[in-house]
Amino acid sequence: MSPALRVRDLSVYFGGLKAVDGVGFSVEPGVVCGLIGPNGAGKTTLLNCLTRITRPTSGSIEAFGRDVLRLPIHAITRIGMMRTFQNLELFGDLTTLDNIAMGCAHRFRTGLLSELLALPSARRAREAAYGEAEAMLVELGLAEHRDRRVSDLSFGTRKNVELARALCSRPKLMLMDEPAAGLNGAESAELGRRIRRFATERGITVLLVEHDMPLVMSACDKIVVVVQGRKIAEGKPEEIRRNPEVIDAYLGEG
Amino acid sequence: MTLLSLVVSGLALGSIYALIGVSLVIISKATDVVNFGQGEMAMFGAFLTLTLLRQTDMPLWLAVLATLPIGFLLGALVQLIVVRPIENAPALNVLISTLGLFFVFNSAAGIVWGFDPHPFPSLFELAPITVGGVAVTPASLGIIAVALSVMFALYLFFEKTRWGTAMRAASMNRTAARMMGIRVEHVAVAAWGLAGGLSVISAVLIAPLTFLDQQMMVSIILKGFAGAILGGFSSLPGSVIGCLILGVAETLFGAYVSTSMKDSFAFVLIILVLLLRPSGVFVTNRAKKV
Repeated sequence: MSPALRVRDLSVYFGGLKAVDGVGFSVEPGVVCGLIGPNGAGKTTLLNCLTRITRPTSGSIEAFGRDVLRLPIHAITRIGMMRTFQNLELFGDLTTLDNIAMGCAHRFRTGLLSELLALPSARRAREAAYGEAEAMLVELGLAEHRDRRVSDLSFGTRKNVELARALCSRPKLMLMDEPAAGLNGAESAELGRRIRRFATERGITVLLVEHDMPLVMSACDKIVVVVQGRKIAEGKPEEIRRNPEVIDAYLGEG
Repeated sequence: MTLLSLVVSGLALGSIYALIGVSLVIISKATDVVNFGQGEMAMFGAFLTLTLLRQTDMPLWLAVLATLPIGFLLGALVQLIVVRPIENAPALNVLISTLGLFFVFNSAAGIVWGFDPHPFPSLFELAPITVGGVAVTPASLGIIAVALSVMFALYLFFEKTRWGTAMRAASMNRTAARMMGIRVEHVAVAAWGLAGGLSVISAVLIAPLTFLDQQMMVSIILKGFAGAILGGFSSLPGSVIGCLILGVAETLFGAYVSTSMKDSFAFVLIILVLLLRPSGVFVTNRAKKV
């Protein structure tokens, strides 16, 4: 069986700057993998390559055996990849429910003409999409914000909306960019349990970019460490915690 | 003429502006392009409709209905052939290209259909009738009714259908929309098509009153701009209200102050709005989030 994600020798150069420099790792299905490193290590750039926002200079990316770099950005959700963003990328003027429903846009597609003519197929697709969105709304405790514009919500709530939207796409591989930023200790612990449940109950493979060490250590099955664009270590949380190079380059500084 | 009948004909004029103004806003929101050629495309579509009427025995109401697909096709083709190849070009290049669209359609219409005005049949009676002591033309009432129905259908489309919601989403955040599997390039075609349909309706509604010629839409697109800017240019309802206000204000100004100054009135208004409230009269200023 092919891994959920395999990154090989990936490099991204911005002019003379090596943002990502020959990074390679793979994540087996159902595994929660942490991606850690100091600020500017190239973690978000790496996620941007995976989701086709940034074009890598060289290297290859496979998800479930598919060559990701050959897919256009709108197609990556169809192979089961979805991500959340560090600074949130929501549809600000849409309601919470509409935002979440956009998550399953690709699964219930309708033609423009069938919608303009209000055909039954368009109505059924809408009902199916919004049915799932409503369920997700309740599951993530967002029911009270259902009809509010997301730009009026607090940062924490908007993070939750983005997560709900991502889950609504029924991802097989979820990329999360600093989901715990701005959360307090208790919220972060709850997030950790939630991520574990994604893996065990929904079988979602997770690539978690995070600075919150207690969260990473408790939620992840394995961890990849990047420093200045290079991978310096990879292994189980306890191995990473004891790795002198990691302690020296990253964990030790705090 | 009494004040009330002036208001009605002002609203009819404003409805024409509103259809064009809304087209401009839809295109600008979906593709970040301000299309100076929109009025000429509308005029060209009206000529196509007139040709359809002359070549077939089609009843007038059916031809007017046919303006929607005609305009959609026209807008969609322009997007695919002209705008798509330059979508990553600097904004100024795109702007100049839409000015090019203006001249291409303007001249093409002249070459194909000549430079003389053509009479265009009207769905509604042009002679005024008296309703409750107020003299109004059925044409004015008809134009207002058609425009309002089209606006209501547009509202339903954007608020109640998934394509409409996806189009709004794509205009707010393209990266996220792509990530959700929305084909942003299809949204662009749909937006230009939709705008094309609305604009041709506007041209077909005004043509019976002004006669159809290749210069017919030149002042109307400028008024559509003015009205949309009055309404903030980014909000569809705001643009409609802005255009209606402009139509009424302009008509009243023409009747009570000066007919010859009527056209300058719209531009004085644009300058005032841009100076005093650049975000439009109805848009409440929201602090931009960083």
